[in-house]
Amino acid sequence: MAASTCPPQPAPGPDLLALRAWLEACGETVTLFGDPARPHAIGTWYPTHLQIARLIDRQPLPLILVQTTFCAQPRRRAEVLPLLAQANQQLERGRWFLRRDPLRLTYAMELPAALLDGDRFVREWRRFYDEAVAHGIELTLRTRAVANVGLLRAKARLPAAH
Amino acid sequence: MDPAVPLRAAVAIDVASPVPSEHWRLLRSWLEDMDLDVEPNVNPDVGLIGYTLRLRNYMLGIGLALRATGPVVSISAVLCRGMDREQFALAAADRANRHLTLGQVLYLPGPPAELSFFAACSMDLLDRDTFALLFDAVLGELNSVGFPAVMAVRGYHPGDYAAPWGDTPMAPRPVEFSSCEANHAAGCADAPCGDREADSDDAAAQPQANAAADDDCANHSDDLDGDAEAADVPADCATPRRRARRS
Repeated sequence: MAASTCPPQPAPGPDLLALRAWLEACGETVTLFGDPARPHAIGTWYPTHLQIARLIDRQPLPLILVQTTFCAQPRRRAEVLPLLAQANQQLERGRWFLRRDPLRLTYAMELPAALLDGDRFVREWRRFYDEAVAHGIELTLRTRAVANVGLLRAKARLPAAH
Repeated sequence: MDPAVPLRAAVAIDVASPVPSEHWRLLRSWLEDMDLDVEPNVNPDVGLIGYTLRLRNYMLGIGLALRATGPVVSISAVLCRGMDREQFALAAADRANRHLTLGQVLYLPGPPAELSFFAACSMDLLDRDTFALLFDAVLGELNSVGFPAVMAVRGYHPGDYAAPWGDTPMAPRPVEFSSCEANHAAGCADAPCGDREADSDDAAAQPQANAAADDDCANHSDDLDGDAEAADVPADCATPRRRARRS
């Protein structure tokens, strides 16, 4: 019998509904984005930001992307890139970057989905929250930006309970 | 000592280390299972700080860090150093971060200035197969995102800056022919220095560090096809024009 030459295939990993169940089990209030039966992302509204998670079906390594757009419309534009570079040097994981039209400062981190379970996902979710808040507040203030939650509130896209 | 661990690995990992030794053994076994020829990177004070893997265009560092949440596997790579267009580096790093799906691109001001890649993942999210896939994905990101960033800033190959940071000179390796006149004196006087054929011969004959001199030579002469070359440059790499001052 010929030896198999297939590359290693990890387990497929959890789906978004599993992520939602894990977060709700530890007391988070989770919002589904998209069709409730087939959501494209889940998220939690915090006072400072909206933190979302979605699946990246990147074969053969499926990933879970945790992301937040923390602030937007920086008035001190010349300060943005040096501050982002500084923040990136201090991160344990993930990356800060600038999205255009309109200018938004975004933090993203990916997790290999294969071995993820509830405890590990909640741990990484909270660590992401800590990093996002620690650097996001500084970036918002030092670039004279506007908190993205504030912009969403102005557009009435915030949940009623928020 | 675990008899399953090859002797070569055991010599490398039985030094004092800031993280528990079992994790280093596990990481080493993953790397050896991938048939990678890694070298231990031992600091005399700290102990083993990682493994080095020399590829043609990247020198990868693979190591462990002990965080509050447990050991974290990190993969880092120097993309380029001593860029010609250091002022573009922040924008290039940001653009790369926008396109990455794994890790991050860092701009370190130096000297010498450096673009580097860094990716980290908790060790408990990895096993042998997942690590191999993650490693392949990192190599893919380096080629698809890292290389365009290096080109945008016209960085130098990290092999041209092999010395440790403290000993690294500010400028790239001493250039033998630092001006167009010197190039002509050295034997390219027969052909105009912007001639593509002559350029390619030069590039083949001289070390890569001399590319700066070649570029300099090709750009400032009058009889060159500099306009055509400039038209070939993608918008991202082209020299930005100054904005007209508002009256």
